[in-house]
Amino acid sequence: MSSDEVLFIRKTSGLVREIGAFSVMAIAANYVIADGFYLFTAGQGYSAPGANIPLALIIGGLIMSLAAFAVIFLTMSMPRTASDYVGISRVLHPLLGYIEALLVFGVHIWIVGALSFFMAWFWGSAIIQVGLATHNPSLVSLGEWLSVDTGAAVGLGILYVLIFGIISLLGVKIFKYVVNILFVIALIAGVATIAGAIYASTLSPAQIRNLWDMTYGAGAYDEIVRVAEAGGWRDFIASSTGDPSTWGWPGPWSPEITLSLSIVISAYAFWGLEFANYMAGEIDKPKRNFLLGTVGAIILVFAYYLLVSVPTLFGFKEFFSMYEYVMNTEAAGQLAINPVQTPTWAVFVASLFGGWAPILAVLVTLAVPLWVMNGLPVYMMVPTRISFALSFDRFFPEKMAEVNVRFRTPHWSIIVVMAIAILMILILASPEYGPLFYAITAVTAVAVKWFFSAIAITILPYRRPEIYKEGYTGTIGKIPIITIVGGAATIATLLLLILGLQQVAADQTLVSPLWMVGWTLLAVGLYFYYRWRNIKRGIRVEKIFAEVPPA
Amino acid sequence: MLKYKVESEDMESFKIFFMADIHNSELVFRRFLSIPKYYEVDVLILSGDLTGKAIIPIIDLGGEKYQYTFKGRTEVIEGSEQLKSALRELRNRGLYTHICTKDELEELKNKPDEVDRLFKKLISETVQEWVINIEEIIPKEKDVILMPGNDDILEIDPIIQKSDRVIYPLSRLVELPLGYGMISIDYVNPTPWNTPRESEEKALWKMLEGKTNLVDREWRKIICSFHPPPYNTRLDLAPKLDKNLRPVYSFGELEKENVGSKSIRKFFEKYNPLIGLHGHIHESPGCDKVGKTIVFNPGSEYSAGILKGIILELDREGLKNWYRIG
Repeated sequence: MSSDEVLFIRKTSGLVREIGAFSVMAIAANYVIADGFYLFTAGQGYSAPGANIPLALIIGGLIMSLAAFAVIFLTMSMPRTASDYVGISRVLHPLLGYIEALLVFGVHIWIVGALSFFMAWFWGSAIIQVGLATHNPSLVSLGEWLSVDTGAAVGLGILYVLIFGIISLLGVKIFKYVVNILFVIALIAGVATIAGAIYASTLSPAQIRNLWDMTYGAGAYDEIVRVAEAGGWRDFIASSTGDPSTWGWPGPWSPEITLSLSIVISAYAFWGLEFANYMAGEIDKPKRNFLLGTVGAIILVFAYYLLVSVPTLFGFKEFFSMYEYVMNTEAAGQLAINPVQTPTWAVFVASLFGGWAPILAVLVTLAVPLWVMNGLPVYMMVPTRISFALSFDRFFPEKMAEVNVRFRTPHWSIIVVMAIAILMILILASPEYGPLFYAITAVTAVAVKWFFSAIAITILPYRRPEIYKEGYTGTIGKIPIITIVGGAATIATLLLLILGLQQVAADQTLVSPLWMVGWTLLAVGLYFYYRWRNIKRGIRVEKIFAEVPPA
Repeated sequence: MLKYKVESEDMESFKIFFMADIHNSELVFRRFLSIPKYYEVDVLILSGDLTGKAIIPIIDLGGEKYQYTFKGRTEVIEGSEQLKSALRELRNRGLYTHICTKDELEELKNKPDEVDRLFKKLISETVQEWVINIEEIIPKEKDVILMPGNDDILEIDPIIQKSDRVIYPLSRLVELPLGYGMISIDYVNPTPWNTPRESEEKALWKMLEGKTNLVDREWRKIICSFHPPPYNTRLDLAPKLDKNLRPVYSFGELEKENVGSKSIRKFFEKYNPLIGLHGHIHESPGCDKVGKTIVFNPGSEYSAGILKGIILELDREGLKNWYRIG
């Protein structure tokens, strides 16, 4: 068929194409900007002492961008729901696509449950900070109750699942509007954070101290410095970097820490840039809009992270490292003036305004729970579309591919994910089970997706030229650009996968390695079961994976 | 049950014309309408996959100018006569046509539910038109049986059922001359394409067993119009394809594989009806035997406008003669 030819073929998925470039960007930003940046990247002051955080962010971000481009190119060739699974199964092997899809599915049904459960903690922490910044003890009490009360966590968690689940059921248009509105609100708070961070970079240490004391009380700043020094902060730095003065950029920093642990943590802050690919079957003009929206998200996220982290670090200097140390160790027990709270980028920036511009402090503080909350509808969307795509290929219960006639959404997929998420919330409420796996396992499981996608686009022009022709076909010399990008992405994502697997293997509780192995074996088992079942029913399995599913 | 209306005592034999899988080809349908003119048949059966699979949009450029693109070629048409001719040509190939503006087309591209509705509308209109053509053109003393197949949406059934003239054979035993009767099934064993009427073999077997309740005479007087052919015969051979959908060759020969229904084969082996009439596998025309049942598939080349059918002559003893058309 030529590019002008339009022929409506009578079999469609039933999904409608409603999502434009802005929504693609919003979906990606909502997914990406969350605890990975605010909590874990800021937390590198303790978890990766001596790191050059901005450099690690740039390197980690570039790796994730390459991974995102692997999926972008696959999606441009095959703009279908769960395009990574479609691409990997059609280009590499159906079993590899299935394993990758099930790993991502398993990660996200956990994330939906876990983050919904922890939303109470995120809101509670933010409300405590708001209460402190505005000198409002009632808010502080409310925040404390929210962040520790299990009943509140379960109730709020279930409420989130129900609200965003119902929004998902009501159709792509409503989903899109909600995601866009949430994105804009969080972005306003984000812009305030960036402005505050830039303000921090213009201040001297003495000015920072004054503003800190205005927020937390006279002597609060010096108390942190004193407690950190007395609590062994320098020895802690020395034990990691070999030099007590190598506390990290903008001071002396350690290349070894930066180029290993720090990159993995930083990459985690960027993962999900391309995750609108799970709705590729619902994107209007997908080849154009998915590319524009995802590139827009990459630029936005890079700018956001660097504009918050660089000036904040520049302004707070070693105080940043000291504060992280105090708040993450028993030294916090020595504090009499400063409240004990989880250090995020928002804590540092908001501290500059609590004493004289509390509204700004509130706005900056609320950015954290807003961005985390924004991710929920997107995290929920991912497993619903994966199960739809697997079912459409007849490798999952067929009910999951049913599209609601009125709302044009895969309603059974959404309902099943909601049910599992609520179950996860109830399990997490039980203290003896605790976290069923850790964040590093989530990134490592998804790294399988990136690695396989990268290999798929590298060989796509040679293995499936008829599919390649449908997507981006630019060349440099005679080599397809997607092969060049794919090659680079393969190396980068392999590095990430190896680093991640090392971290998983290092988990002393064995939860992470058991999760990875368990879900992989489940995927293999289900694949062969459905393969056998389909062959028994007379379905030509090789034909399913020879074709790209209908749009 | 219908009693055959025109049957005289000295009727020695009668003829059935059977064809399948015309997939909306207007040209093949017109040829079907003219069969009684050239052949002395008493019963005409148009069975399975009556409807088309694609809509080609014709863009109205204004000033009686139109444009469409098909198989890489863009055609510009001027005037109503050229338009009529183009529409006829496209319909002869089995395509539905839809005239619209460029803006309407862009809107349609993003609204699969609108495209769905359009398909239903065009399919229903065409089937209605065909039913009327049959009523008006084929002589009244000839019985015409129209049976949907797996590719046909369920909405066409009421259209056929409403006609007083055209026989809708599903869920009944159709009376034929000389005491013969016909039972029919539109569903097929699973395909990779999720067509409207397909079923697992187990469920298909249940449907087939359900048909036995309609049979009120010896099985050697029963003709089965079952859309899918029985498994492992000459009628269910489809080209074997590799994972890139390319035909597989072995020592220069095209490799084929059996894709028919195991339930239907089992049914014939159990009940031994006289004849099985099938379609579904366009590239496997022929005749074979399953137990005592003789089975036929006329094949299909609808997109080339070729009518392919079978004429069967039956007398009181059984099948007397048969030959292929096209």
